Amino acid sequence: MSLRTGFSRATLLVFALILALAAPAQSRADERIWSAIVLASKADKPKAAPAELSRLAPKIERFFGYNQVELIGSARKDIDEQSEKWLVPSPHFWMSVKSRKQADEKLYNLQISLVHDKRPILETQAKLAPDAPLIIRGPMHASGQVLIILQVQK
Amino acid sequence: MQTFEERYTAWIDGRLTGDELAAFERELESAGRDAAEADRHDVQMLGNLLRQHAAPPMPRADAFNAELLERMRREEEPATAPILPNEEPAPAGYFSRTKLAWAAAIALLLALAAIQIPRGDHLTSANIAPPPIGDLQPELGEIVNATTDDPGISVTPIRSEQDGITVLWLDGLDYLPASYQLQ
Repeated sequence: MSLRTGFSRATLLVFALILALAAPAQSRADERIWSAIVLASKADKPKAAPAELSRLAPKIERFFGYNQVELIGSARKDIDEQSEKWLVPSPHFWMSVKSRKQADEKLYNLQISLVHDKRPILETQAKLAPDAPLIIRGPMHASGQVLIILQVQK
Repeated sequence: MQTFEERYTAWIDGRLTGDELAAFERELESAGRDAAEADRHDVQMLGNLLRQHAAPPMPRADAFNAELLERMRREEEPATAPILPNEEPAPAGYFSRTKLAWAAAIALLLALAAIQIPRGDHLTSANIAPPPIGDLQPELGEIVNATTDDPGISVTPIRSEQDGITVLWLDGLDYLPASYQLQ
């Protein structure tokens, strides 16, 4: 086997392996979108945040100035770039999410509509990376601040 | 116009003449002529010393140069020596092209495997719990636009680099009384 033949075979093998490994990677991109309604408040004896919010709660507490974060409701759906998805984390707050992401893009381009008690209150277009939450400061409730969270999850 | 240092150097070297020399020596009277004279004396002594003990001429300089060039040529020869047609090719070195290609293939495989491994949970059933929300520290999101049809509501996008979150701050929403059941 000459050096040139050996090099050519090795090169072909490299490309074949890259193609073989790259193809399944595309098909596994089953990411989901998660939404939650959270009540942030100041409590004398704050309760620990639920496990689902264990990492996000400290950020919410620091940014919004509360010491307790409760999960009111949540919803999760697979991201489908073909159609609009409705997320209903609570009976009062609905979200319509349309997703668009090119194969070579890192960020999801989301068109989001937020409805509160059947009344549209927000239209936004946001680019979100997986695991980078978008927090919407909603209405103030007698027991605390309502926050709506949206996050792409891998 | 020359600076004092330039004229001082020229004076020490004896390159100042005529009016320039006279003007500079008047200037030296006020700057300390004795110290300047001592400096000039030292520099002249050093110059004389260097001239007296200059390096001797090298005997057989041409032969030395030729020998040096020949040694350099011999050291470079193995890397550039052509392979003669009747000669067997030299055994491939450690970093031959074939071995480099294989090394690249293995490195690529390892890199791709490292990328694929964290995605393995997508292949299994749903009984694997998702990672806690906010567990990772990815890049922040970006609000392209945000509007509301209600003129009483305002929207302000905020990016908190410190907390790794993107916030849409809505103001002007109705207050929800205690009787309002969130769930």
